[in-house]
Amino acid sequence: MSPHASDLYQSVVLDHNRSPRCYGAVTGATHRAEGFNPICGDRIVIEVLVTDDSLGVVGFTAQSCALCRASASVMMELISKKSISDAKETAISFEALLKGAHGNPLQLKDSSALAFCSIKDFPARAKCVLLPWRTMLSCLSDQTSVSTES
Amino acid sequence: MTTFAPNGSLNVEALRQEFPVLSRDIRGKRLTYLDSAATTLKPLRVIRAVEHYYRRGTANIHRAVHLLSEEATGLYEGTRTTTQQFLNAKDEREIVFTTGTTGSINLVARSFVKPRLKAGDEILLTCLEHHANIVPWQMVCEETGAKIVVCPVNDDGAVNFEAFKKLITPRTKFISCLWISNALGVVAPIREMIAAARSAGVPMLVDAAQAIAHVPIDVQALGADFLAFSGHKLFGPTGVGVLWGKIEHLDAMPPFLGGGDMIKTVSFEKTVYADAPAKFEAGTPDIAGVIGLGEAIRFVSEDIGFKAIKAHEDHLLSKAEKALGEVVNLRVIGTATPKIPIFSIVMGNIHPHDVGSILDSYGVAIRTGHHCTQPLMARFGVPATSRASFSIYNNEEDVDCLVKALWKTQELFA
Repeated sequence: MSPHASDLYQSVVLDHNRSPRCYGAVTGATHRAEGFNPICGDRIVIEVLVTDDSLGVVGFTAQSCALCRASASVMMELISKKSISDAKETAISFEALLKGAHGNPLQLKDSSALAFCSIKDFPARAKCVLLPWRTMLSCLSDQTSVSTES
Repeated sequence: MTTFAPNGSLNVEALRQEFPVLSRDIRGKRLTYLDSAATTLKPLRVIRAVEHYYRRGTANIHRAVHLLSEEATGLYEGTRTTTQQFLNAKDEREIVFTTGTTGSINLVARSFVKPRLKAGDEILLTCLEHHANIVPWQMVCEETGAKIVVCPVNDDGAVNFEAFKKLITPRTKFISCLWISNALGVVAPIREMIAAARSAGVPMLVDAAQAIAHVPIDVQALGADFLAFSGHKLFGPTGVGVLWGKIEHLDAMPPFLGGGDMIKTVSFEKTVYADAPAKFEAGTPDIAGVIGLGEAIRFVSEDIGFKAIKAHEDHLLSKAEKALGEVVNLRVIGTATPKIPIFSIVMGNIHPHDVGSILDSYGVAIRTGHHCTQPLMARFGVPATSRASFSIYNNEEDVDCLVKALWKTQELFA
């Protein structure tokens, strides 16, 4: 069977696209970063209010494709309330998952993130899915902007 | 009488056999190739010519006296003659081989326009331009203090010709405009624009990158100063293109790149440059590409002809317009006439990249993004569109496959 777009646009992805979690600005955010894909013009802003080394409140806004938006929404669910180092580790696990690494890393077990596994059959879209995660990593590393092309 | 249009109408099913890529399975589906505005597919005639050069005829040109070099030089220079006839240029010395439209425009910007610019001068473009016809001008403007003036487009994508005429002033030192929009398919009133430039005495370049495969071009009748196109949008190889320029301009222009093949004599004290066009063709060129380009031009003019191309594309245009008009929540940007069958589609809130991926899984290849025309996208208030562009080898089934896949996209995001 050839890979089909329905592998990519699973109902969980479509649901997160339609009703993104944690969408909007974060009042009093301590960290903020903007991610940009110059190839397609996708733009995402991630804001985080860190309290006691944990991601107390997270939020994002995006002008982007469905995959980028859904990926950001899933990420919000996964990193909210986590410690900074756990959130970073989750991002690393997610990237490994997309590359087809064996087994499901612990942080992502049974999560909606698994819906993005089929991206490996659509390499042209991997950047769309990764943009929120890379932006979040920049945000937590106190960088204010990130591009898919740098 | 042509091979694929014996009665003046195109035998598209026979023509499709000439394009081997069309027989490929794409994700288990038939290929619906609707990305010809990005690059056209290549016919066997071109593929064989390129293959022959590498397999049986490899040699450098303009150098050795051996048979292979003589043959290669003959084929390379033969393309110059073919191109001259194709464009109805006065003199084959007016045909410069470049790396493509981008290379051609940069050559004119650097070698012809920049030496004429001073602070406050203006270069006139239109809002439709491809980045290749914006950025080279910005670069020379940055270096000279000149500035770019942009002619607006109307809401239907047509060039606002009244504004164009008014924007030509004594400060205008050069005009560079595309003939057919790669993003919208809209045809600019290029003859009228050239006439306006001429009556003001302003030299003008025509970016024919998109026009070259759709309309016959007679540079003498057009009356512009320069015209640029790429081989790969004319069923030829990538990496090769043409700059046509009036010989008096080319003769007066300094070289752009220095190197071998563009000289008469070289000493460490002084180099005497070759005459045009060799002056602009430094280094070993894309010999196979130029040979392939010659074959592509003969393919279009001998095997098909522009009359048949126009009739076929007009048919596809009206069929696709009607079918797309029936898809709910779909808008086409750029409806001005005349136009060629290029459709810049916006589907409600569905992002073009999502449209592109879903269409891809139905074997439908379109381009999504800004089409290297970010200012034009900004003009229409969208970051990107989904662009379906048709060519000679597309048939009615391609229209059906496109529309069916667009409906599936709507269903998925409903």
